[in-house]
Amino acid sequence: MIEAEPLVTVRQLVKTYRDAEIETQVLKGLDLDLEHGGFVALMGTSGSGKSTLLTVLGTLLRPTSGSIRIAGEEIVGLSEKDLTAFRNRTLGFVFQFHHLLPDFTALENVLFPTWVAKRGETRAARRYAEELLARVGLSDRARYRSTKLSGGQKQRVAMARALVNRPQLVLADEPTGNLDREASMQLMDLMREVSHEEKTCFLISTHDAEIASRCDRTIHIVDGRIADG
Amino acid sequence: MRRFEIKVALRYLRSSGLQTLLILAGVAIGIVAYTFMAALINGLAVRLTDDVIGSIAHVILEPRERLPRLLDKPEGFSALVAVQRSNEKRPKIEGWRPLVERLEGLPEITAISPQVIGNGFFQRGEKVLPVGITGVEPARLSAIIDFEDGLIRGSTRLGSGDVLIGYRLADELGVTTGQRARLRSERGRERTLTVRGIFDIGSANANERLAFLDLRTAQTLLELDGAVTQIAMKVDDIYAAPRLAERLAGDTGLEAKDWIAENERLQGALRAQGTTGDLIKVFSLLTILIGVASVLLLAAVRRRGEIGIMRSMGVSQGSIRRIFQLQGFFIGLFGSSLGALGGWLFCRLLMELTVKPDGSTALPLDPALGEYSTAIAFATACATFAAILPARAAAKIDPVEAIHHD
Repeated sequence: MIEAEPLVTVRQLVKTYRDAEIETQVLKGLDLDLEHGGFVALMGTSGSGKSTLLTVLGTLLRPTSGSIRIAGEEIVGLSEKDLTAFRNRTLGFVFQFHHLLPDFTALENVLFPTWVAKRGETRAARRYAEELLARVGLSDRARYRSTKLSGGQKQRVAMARALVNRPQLVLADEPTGNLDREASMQLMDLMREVSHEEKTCFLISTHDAEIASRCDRTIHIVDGRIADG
Repeated sequence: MRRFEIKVALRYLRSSGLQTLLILAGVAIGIVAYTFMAALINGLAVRLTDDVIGSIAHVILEPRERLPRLLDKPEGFSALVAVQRSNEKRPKIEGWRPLVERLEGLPEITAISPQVIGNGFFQRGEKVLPVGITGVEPARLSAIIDFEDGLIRGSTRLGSGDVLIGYRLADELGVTTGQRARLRSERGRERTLTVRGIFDIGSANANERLAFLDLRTAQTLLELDGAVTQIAMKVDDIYAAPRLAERLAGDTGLEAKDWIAENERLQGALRAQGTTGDLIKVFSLLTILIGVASVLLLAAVRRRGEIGIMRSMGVSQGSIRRIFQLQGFFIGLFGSSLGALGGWLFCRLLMELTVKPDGSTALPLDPALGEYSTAIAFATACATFAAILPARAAAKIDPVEAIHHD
C-alpha cells in the first residue's frame, strides 16, 4: 500500500435502482476520498443517498458505474467470492438496529467475524474480543445472550464486533439513531477513541448535527453527490 | 466445511427449542415405522423360510428320467412327435454309497440322507389309509427333519420292522407307540410294523401322510434291491442351494432340485411382502423429507435478518447454504438415531406383550432385523437432501434488503 494514497477513493460513482420500468438514480457521479484513521460524519436528508453510499462502500451492493478503491484495491468488478473475503478482512459495520445474532452470547457475537476469517476460533482472537468487550464496558456481560442486553449495550457489542478483525474502514449507518442522548455520546466517544488509537477510519451517517460535531470532518451528500467536506 | 458453520447450524437447532424437538420427533416416528416394518417383514421372511426349510431338504438328487431318443428326421421334413415315458425301468440310484461319501466331503453340505420314497397303505382292522413311505438310514434319521424336536411319544430309534408316524395318522389308525399296523407297499409287498414313535413336525401333510422306516425295510417293501430313489441334503447357505444343485447335476449326471425352485410360491409371497414393506419405508422417508424441508424453509424466512448480517460480516453464500444443509443433516442423523432406538424398543415391547406361554411370540418380529443403520443412513441422506431447497433460498437472500427490512 502506498502511504500517500487515501484509504478510500471513490470516482464518478453512479447507482441506479431499476424497479420494473422505473429507474431511480440515487448516486449521480459521486467523488469522495477518506483518509486512514479519519473520523468522518456523513450527513444528508432522507433519500439523499447516504445509506446507498454506505452499502456500496460496504460491498453489499454493486454500483452501476464508477470506481471504488479501498485499501489499495479496486473493488468494482471483484467476484462475489473475493468481495465476501474483502468485506471480512477490511470492513466493519455498525447498523442502527445493532443486528446482533440472538442465539449467541455477547462474546460470541464479537468473535463471529473472526470465526469466518480464521476458519474457527483462535486464542488470540478470543483475547482480543474480550479486550474489546472490556473496552466498551461489557466484560461482565460477555456470556449473556445478546437478547438479554439493553439497547445501548447491544450497540456497544455491535461496535466491538465491527472492530474485532481490525478493519481499516468501519461503516456506521445511524449508529446512535436508536439510543438516548447519553448512550449516543458514550458510543461516539468510544468510536472516536478507537479511530485515533487504531488508525481505523470511521464513516458515520447521521441526521444529528450534534453527533456530526463530534467528528473530525463532516461531509454532506445532496442529491446523490458530495456537496462539501 | 468450516467449523463455524457446524457451530451455527447446531446453535440454530438448539435455540429453536420446541420446533427442533417436534421435527426430531417427526423424523424419529418415521424411522420407528421404518424399522418396525423392516423387523416385521424380515422377521416374517425368516420365520416362514425357517418353517419351510426346517423340514425339507435344500437340495435333492434324483435319477434322471430317461426319455426315448428322437430319430433324426430327414432334411426338409418336419415331424410331429409324441413322447411316451419309458416304464420299463424304475428310476433309482444304484451304487449310491460312494457318491454319498464323496458328497459328505463337500464343505457346503451340512447333512445328507440317502432315502427311498414310495407309496403304500396302512391297514388296521377294516381301516385302510394311504401313506407315503420314506426309508432312511436310522443313523441319519434326523438329518433332514428334526425328529428329536418333533417327537411327541415313543423314541426315534428305528430298527428293522419299526415305523415312525405323525400324530394325525396315529389318530386315524387308532394306534399308539408299541402297537402294530400292517403296511402294504405299492409293489404289493406287506409287512407288519411296530409304531416306535409318534411325531408332530409342523406340517399337516407330513403328520397325516408320512411313515418313516428303516432304509432296508423300505427297500424290501418297495423292491429296490439295495438302491435308493433320492439323496437329500441340507446346506450351510440356503440361498446358494440353486448354484450347488446345478453343480451337482453336472458332476453326478443326476437330476438336482433345490428348495427355492420347489417353493416358488413361498418366494413369490416373500417378494410381495418385501415390496409392501419397501413402499411403507419409502413413504416414511418421504414424510421426513417434506417435514424437514418445510421446517427449514420457515427457518430461512424467519432468520432473514441474521442471514443478512452474517453476509455483511463476510460469510459467503456457500457458508449460508452449508449452515442450512447441516441443519438438515443433523435433524436427519439425530432424529433417525432416536427413531432407530425407539423402533428397537417398540419391537422389544411388542414381543414382550405378545409372548405366548411356550415362549414364542404371536408376531413374527425380529428386532435384530430392523435395518437400523440403513434407516439412519437413508433418513440422514433424505433430510440433507430436503435441506437443499431451503439452503438455496437462504443463500439467495439479499443482505441489503434483509438488513433494512428486519
